[in-house]
Amino acid sequence: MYRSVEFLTELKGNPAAFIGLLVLLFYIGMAVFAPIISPHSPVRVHLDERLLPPFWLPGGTLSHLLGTDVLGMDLLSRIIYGARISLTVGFLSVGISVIFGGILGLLAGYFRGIFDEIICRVADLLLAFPFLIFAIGIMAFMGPGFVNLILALTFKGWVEFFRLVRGEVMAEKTKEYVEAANALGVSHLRTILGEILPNIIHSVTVLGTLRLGYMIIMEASLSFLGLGIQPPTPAWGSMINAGRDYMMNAWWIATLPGIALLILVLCINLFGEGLRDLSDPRLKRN
Amino acid sequence: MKKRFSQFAVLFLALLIIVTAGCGTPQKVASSAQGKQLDGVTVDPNATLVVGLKGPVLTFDPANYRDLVTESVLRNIFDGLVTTTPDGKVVPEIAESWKAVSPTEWDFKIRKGVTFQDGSPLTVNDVKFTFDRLIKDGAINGKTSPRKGLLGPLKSIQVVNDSTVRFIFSSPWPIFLPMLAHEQIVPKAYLEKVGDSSFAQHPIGAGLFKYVKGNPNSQIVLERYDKYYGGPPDIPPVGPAQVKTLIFQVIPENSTRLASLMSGDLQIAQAVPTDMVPQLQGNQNVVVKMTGSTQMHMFEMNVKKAPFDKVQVRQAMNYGINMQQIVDKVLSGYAVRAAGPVLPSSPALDKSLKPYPYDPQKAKQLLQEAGYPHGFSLVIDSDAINQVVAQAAASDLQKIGIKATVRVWDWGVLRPLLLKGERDMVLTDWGNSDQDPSDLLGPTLRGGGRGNYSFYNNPEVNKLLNEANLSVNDPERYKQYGQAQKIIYNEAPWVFGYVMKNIEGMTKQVVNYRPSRDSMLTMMRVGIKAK
Repeated sequence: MYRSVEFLTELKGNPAAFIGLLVLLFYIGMAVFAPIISPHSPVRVHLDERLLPPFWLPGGTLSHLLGTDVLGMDLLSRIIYGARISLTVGFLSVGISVIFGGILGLLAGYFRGIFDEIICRVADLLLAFPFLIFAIGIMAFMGPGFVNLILALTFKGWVEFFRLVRGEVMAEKTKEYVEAANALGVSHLRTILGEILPNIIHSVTVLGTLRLGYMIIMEASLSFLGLGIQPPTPAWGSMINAGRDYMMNAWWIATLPGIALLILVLCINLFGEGLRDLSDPRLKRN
Repeated sequence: MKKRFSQFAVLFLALLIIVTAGCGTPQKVASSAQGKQLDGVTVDPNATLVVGLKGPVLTFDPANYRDLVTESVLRNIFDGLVTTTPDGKVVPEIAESWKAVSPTEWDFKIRKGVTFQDGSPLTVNDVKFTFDRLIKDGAINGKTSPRKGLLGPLKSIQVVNDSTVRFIFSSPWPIFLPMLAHEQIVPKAYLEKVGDSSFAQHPIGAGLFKYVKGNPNSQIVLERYDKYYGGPPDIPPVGPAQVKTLIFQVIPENSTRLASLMSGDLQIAQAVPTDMVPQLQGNQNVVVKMTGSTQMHMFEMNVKKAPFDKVQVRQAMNYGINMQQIVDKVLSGYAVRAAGPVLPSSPALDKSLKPYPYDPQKAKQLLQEAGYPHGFSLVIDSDAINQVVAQAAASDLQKIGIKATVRVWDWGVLRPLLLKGERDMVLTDWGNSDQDPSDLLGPTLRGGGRGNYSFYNNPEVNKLLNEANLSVNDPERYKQYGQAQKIIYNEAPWVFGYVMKNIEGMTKQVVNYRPSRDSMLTMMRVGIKAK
């Protein structure tokens, strides 16, 4: 409790990061309470109410605050539900990447040897591919869908966490407290989990936060290309794609989900960078 | 890269010269003095006409593709024995006249004085060579022309004398003439000299425009062929093209293509989406024109697999999807509903068939009878273009208890799965440019047809279609098609769909252009208003 209060106080010293956190929490709240706060069903087709503009434009109505899309589906409700998809995909893919990459990194960095060699070469191989093209290839091979999307994102996503953890473990391993633990006869498992892990977890948290925004962008890109979440399930990427053809007569269909995506990713990144500044002792003194 | 840059630079300079030539006052007077009258308007003979395409051109070889956009560009470079008017009437082009010698033999007399764009005369040998290349196995670089299937039972071509060729069929083929309009004549001597691959990059035809340069994925530049023989006498005024330069610009993105039209970068844009029509109509410089098209859209259901193996379920789908609302709302009314499987504009249409009414109660009842009182899960396959219609249909089906979702595919990935019978329901379309059912029902609803994704195979329908295909007596054929339509209507292997309008936009400077039923973009008698 004391630590989180201290953390918040320090974060307040960095207004950009603090706002980032607030907005992220706002989006999470929106995602969690989507069924309560969204005014309509996100998949209800109403062909009599197609292409209605947002309420502030002529022709807009208060029952569809942000207007409707080409099938008359309520844009505000779809954006609210879209936050669910984006955040779920983001947190799940980062979470799985952290666990998978982290465990491999801890083992490889601590024990080294042939195991480390093999994993490192595999990681190098995966790093050689651009992320998006790699994900497109996997999705085209496995077909679209939620589970496949998470798999495609984590298939390469773990590598960065692996490299980070492995490097940190190798640095920590040479420090005196690890040597002391070894000298006391503490088991390897306890040394890794009890001694080393608490000392490197903050850098994993920072990287995880920064990757969260990236994964959300990736999900939107794949959905935009028609490889991710399939319509009519609301995902911002596929909404932007669906609105692309209507930019001239109904700009809001593509633009508003785009703005929702922009704000979320921007704020996650601001928060992530603030977190990084806080955890870096050299920057802390200023 | 450097080469491409210099190509663009040359092109830019050329455009600049054309533009400035039109701007200078002395030239302006000269050009309007020379300008011909077209449709009561003086046109600029040195004008450039830029047309926006919705997709890339696949090749410049008229024997080596199956694609509508490619054909619509190629028909400006190449001429065929016959062609079609924008309304779909077959008229002579390179052929002067023809007659059926017997039900399986047709003689075509070739017009005199037709030359290819390299100056060589077009002879009967070129005609024979062209069609041999289309129907002989392995004739194009060891591969068989993908257009072979479009020539049906054509067996061989004989040169009768120096102005007549004879087409010999293995069986009578009633739709030969309209199908012939899709094939263009290539120069034998030039093609044999340069080879198939080189010809596809530097094509020479006997058409209105000669190929100058271009990249099939972005921009194709054509120039008027001044020694053109004049084209079909049935489409006046006979003579060379009315513009000097014709440029096809590939702009797949709808909004970009239409923005280019409104800003004047394009003079004609094809494939205007229905939702954009009011926007374009509100623009002072743009005219929207439309015509009926010949592309049938329908949902095909796999009758080999449950639940669509039951006829009640298939009928329930027809009652449960509010197709009239889709036509009126999603397609803004720019489509015509089809009651059965035949184009509403076809002479073979059975007018006694009325579209299935929207009746969710009846649909639920039929589902109950078929043993699906609680519906079932269904994935409707679609391509990106038609996905909005698929989603609207899915939402209707949800109202009768069917858990329907939509999956959008790349056609190249989806088609093999469809052919294997792995999918349940697909929203697709089939082009039927001659409007005769043999070219629509034959491939899509006869057992073993190449586009039969529903796997519908009714011996009685097969027999009727085969008989109609062999007869040359139209009233009798139409009777057989009528019977087939009734059976298909009742057995409902499709959710019967709609035929879109073919909508194109053009600037007010364009003279004498209107969209064609078959979506061709032949700039035969089209001009640009003189300034």
